[in-house]
Amino acid sequence: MSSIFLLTVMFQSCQSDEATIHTDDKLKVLSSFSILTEMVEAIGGDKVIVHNVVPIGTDPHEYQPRPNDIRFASGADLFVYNGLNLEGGEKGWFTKLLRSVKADPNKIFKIADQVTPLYLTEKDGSKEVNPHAFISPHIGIIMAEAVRDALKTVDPAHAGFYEETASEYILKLTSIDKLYRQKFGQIPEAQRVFIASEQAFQYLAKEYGLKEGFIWAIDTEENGSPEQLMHAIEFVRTYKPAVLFVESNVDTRPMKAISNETGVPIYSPAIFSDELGRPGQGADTYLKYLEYNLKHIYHGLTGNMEWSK
Amino acid sequence: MGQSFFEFFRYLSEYAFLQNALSVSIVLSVAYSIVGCFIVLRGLALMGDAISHAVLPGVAISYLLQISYFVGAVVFGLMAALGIGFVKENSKIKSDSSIGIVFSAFLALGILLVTKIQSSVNLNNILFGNVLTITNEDRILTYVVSGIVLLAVALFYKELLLTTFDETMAKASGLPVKFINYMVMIMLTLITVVSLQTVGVILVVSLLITPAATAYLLTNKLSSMLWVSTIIGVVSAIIGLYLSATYNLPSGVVMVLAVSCIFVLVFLFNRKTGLVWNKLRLRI
Amino acid sequence: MNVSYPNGIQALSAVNLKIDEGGLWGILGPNGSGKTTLLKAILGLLPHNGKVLFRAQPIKKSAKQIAYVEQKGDFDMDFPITVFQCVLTGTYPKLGLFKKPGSSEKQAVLNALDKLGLMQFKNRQIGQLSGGQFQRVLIARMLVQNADLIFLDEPFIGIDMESEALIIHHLKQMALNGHTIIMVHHDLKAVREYFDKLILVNRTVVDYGATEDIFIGEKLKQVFPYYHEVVLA
Repeated sequence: MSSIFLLTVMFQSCQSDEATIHTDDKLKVLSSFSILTEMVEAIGGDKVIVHNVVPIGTDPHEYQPRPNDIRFASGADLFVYNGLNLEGGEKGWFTKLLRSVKADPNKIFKIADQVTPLYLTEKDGSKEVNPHAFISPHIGIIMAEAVRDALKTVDPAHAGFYEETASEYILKLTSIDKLYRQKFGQIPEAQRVFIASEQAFQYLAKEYGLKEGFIWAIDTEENGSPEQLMHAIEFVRTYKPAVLFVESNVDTRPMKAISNETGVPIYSPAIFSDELGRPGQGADTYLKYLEYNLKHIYHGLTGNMEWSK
Repeated sequence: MGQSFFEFFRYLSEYAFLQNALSVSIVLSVAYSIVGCFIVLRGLALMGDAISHAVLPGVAISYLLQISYFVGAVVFGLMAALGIGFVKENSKIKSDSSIGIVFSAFLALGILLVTKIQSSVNLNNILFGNVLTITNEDRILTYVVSGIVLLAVALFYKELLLTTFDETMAKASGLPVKFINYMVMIMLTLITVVSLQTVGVILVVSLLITPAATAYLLTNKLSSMLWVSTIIGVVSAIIGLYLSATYNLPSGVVMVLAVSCIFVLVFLFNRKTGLVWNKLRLRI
Repeated sequence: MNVSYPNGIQALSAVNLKIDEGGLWGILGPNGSGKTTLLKAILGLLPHNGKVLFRAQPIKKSAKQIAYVEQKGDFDMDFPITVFQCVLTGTYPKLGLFKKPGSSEKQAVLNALDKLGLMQFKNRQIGQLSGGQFQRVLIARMLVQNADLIFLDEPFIGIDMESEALIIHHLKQMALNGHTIIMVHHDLKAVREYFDKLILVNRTVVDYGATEDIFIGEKLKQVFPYYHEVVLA
């Protein structure tokens, strides 16, 4: 894949020279990507130091860990990752990273473990898991519980603290979930048509009753092949969404081609799928990210910016 | 096969993005098939390859500065071309080594910048091309650049012919040899950069060389070579797009394979030098 | 007019020549003596530290009046160009930028082809010709150029006698008509027949002048220590 070609020269394995880097006794957590990282920070509070591996702007499906990542990993107390093939699955880069630092299996937690997976639409009939469960707030609740349990297992001394912060957090997630149901419920079914570049919003679409369209099923396959473009154009012509959505971390040209072809405009700004927004974009925490997406998707589909709470 | 041909025309009439892809591919193929003839005759194929790789830092920097990739790519492509010339003129290092040295340095710089920027997503697509999703701005850019290049060839045709065929006589008789040499370098850089859209960095040199080299095997006159090269280039672009749309294959890659197949057929079966033909002739 | 060339270069030193207009000059010298180097230096194709003046002006200014027929071995015979087109390129310097060759240029090419007995080859690609035929093509091109000052580098190597005779006939004709022709000759045969004037070169200009003054034993000895007596005999 192209990103491997470009990044091959970057990775050099290095063993850390010290066993652990103790910084005032906080729990050291290695998290695979931004959404998980922020969730752990929210629930762990000042009891944790979290190291985020895949930076914002980079694809979490395929990644070459850097020396810093390896160094932190060698001394981490807890490893959390999404699972559902987000980090490449059994043969993926994250598994390799864990193996290379001989991480203790008791400290490794797959946060989306309890999530019922949905499968991507593959033309050859093969079933591939859709990793993007976290986009939907109802899944966020499951994941928050898993984060809380992971922290409690590895750091039982602060179990009470984690319980408390987690239940506050889950309360907020629950109200966001309710808001999603409410707002999407208000949209007439014919207008509940959502299309983005990647099939990342599958869990969200299914849970809240949106008709989902996409150009490619997952970022790692070819983006913008003739068949994908034609298929997406047909979707737009048939279901007539009000707007087209683009994600923050994709090449926008395929969607622009669809927009040119069908005359349906692309909604601005971009929404977020694989990552949180950068500071200042209004979606730099998981909770804000969920609210941001809801606000903009609702606005795009109905033209309405406000809601009556 | 006939059925899928009809399908292709149906797709063409239905989808604007295919029509755009077809027109860009055809215009571009005319330009690179013609420039390619001079590249092949002047022995600049390796230079073409080098320039296509050397544009990487230019693309990365354009991305950083939020300007069009075209500007950065052309600037760096020209710097590489000049750098190669400079090393060659001012040392005893030969052509192939000076090319290798300069372009690997540029490529390495490019890779470093790309990894620092951390946004491989956008850059990947600039480097690996997809003519189907070409933006309107880039499409127009392609038409303009191709037009300029073709105009230059038409205006300076006889100077190009003579400086390529007999540079010594051209120099001795006062033709602007240096100017023509620079012009060829600039044309090469422009066409390479604009062709990145269709096939990307790695394969662009194939499009520059193969139609021209195939035509070289078939013709006796430069004017014929230019025509034949263009026909081959355009035909492979159309075949490439047809196969791509019908069987869902990446378009640039298929174009390269199509033109390479044509080359192989010509190589084996052409009357003058074809291996197969010669073997048959010996038998008779 | 004269070509005057005061100074030296690495392969040649202390070159000092004054050449008058009109006449067929031969440059003689052993292998490696710098004959081709001398030609290229005069034309500005090699660096040197002297001055070359043509009609009291630096020679570069009169490029259009100059023709250079280099050794035929230096040509890419696979190049896609026909005999006709090759000769036609001789019209390019005088046409200048942006003008295309017209019917008068094309007629000049046909005349030249005719003079050199090349009409039947006019549409052949140059690689299909023999050495002698191709040399005649280069001469035809030179005719079409119609330059005042003409340089040739060993045009008689590896060609048939008929071609040689035809070429020297036309060169002499041109010299009579006022063109200045300077030619590197690769051996010592037919020198007295061909050239009015000679330049003897052996890493420097040993001497130059009228053939009867130069082509004599004591001068030739300096350039061809072993062969001169054999030749004169």
